[in-house]
Amino acid sequence: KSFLPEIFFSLGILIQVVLNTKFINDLKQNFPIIDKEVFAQTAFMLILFIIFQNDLRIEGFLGTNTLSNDSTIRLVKQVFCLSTIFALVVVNKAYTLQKLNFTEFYFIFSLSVLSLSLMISCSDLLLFYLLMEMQALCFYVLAAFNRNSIFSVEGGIKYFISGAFISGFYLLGVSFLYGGLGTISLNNLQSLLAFDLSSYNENLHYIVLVSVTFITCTLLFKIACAPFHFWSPDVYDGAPLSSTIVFSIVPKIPLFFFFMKWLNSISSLTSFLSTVLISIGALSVLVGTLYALAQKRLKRLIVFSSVAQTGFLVASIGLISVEGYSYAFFFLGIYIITSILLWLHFALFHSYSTRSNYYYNKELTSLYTSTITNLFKDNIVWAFSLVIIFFSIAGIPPLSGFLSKMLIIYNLVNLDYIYFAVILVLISAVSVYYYIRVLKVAFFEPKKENSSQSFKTIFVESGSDFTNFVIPILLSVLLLLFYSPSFFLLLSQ
Amino acid sequence: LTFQIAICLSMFVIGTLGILYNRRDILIVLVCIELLLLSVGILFIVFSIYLDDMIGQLFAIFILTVAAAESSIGLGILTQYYKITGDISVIDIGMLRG
Repeated sequence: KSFLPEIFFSLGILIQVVLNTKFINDLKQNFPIIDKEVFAQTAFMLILFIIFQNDLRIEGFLGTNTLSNDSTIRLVKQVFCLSTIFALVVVNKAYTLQKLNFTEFYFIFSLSVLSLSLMISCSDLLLFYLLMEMQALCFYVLAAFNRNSIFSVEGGIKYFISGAFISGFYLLGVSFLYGGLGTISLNNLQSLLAFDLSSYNENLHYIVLVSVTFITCTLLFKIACAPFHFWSPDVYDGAPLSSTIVFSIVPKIPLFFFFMKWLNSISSLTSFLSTVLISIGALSVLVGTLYALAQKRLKRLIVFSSVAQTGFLVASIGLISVEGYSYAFFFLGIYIITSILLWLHFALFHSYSTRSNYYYNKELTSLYTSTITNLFKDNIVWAFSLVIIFFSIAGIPPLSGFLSKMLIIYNLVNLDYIYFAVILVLISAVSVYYYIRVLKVAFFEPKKENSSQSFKTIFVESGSDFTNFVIPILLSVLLLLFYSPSFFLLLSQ
Repeated sequence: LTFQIAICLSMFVIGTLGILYNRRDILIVLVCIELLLLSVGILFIVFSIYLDDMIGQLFAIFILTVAAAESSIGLGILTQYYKITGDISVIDIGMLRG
């Protein structure tokens, strides 16, 4: 009774699988029409999922303290599903340019969304392992989705190997935690770690410290933070565009939410933890910025900039306080909006450039920065929305990216981590360079002779352009009014 | 207890060294991943006997299931990789650099 939306969603997935395979077997010529229907089905299920979260009868526990569902978690689930719906819109735009017309994309996507929404309400390390593996398996398949391309399958192999390896480390950490303390639930962990551990067995403190390190490293890996980010450029670059959009937008909110819960349980172990996490965040910003300076491909640029943004988030979560968490959520919200917009523009650029490439009989190439030259003369609307997006990521004042970064740095300075705050500010100043370089290419470089893209056709489909008009305005308006759902108190379990 | 933990940990270490020092194929990596998951499963059962608790055995069964699913997907991706390139040696996975 208390998890009815998830049950509805899983039944919807099963029905969708059955009906769509039947239809594909019958009407083999009409692939694109069926594809739009599957998109509509998935979006419909997600919208119903959001609406069902408003019913108060689903609050409660399932299996003592493994799954819980209170008002904070419902709100986070609604925000998460909203972000997945927007990601689905972007994926639909990107899907039509690739010749990958497999409907299984939406099933696998829905399965991963189901596991991620359960991950939001999970407070148990065993259940987190199961959900993490379910989501990871779905993403391995999505990374290797383009079966005829060496890039895609190689990205899938790399993702699979590194992901499976890291989940082995996670299991080792959980097993030592279990052997040392006897519990797996996060609530019990929080209560147990408040005691002095060395009075029972001298080595217990070190065992728990080692296992906590392993589990935290696994969580940082899944988020693509700096010492463990090595999989994300190759995987995100090689995967087809629709999969990359899913990877970079969809798993962020649940993974960060669980990370916050985990840090909440661990916080009474050492006082060292905050410093370590904030230094990892600073390292991530440094690594992301330095690697992004040398990139020529747009996709890799976006990936490395997301590694840097993750560094900001980890630095903010590292202060294990209510304000740290709420600023992190604010940053996460802004980051997801800008990610959705950025990938939308990317998908539009890619689709137009490949259409003109098909006209000149070329292959589907990856998008370099030099392909968006002369945007100012071709399409002013897109150029200015790109300006707003990139300035928001870079952190220029009238836009909300500045507000989110400023709040995090303000919080760091308030709690006397001035050294790390200075590092963050300096390195994000360096990162402004490569954001503005993209804009320089778009605005100031003339068109070369053999580049055959022209972005002069503006209004193609109404769904994408609605998002395009609303959200850049939202980005600049957000500076003035505080985005209040994100300033909520994180769970006090 | 120390002896059992030592066995499981040495299996885990053999698995990770197998992944890191691998120069032949990708299939070895898949086998070593199975070794990792198996060693952690046995470790869970050891701890469950030591603590006299059920959750360890439950977790071990779940690990077994997930390992099976994961290795099947890994083999699927490996087969696809083999269909495109002719071999599965580790030397040339450098197509995505730069």
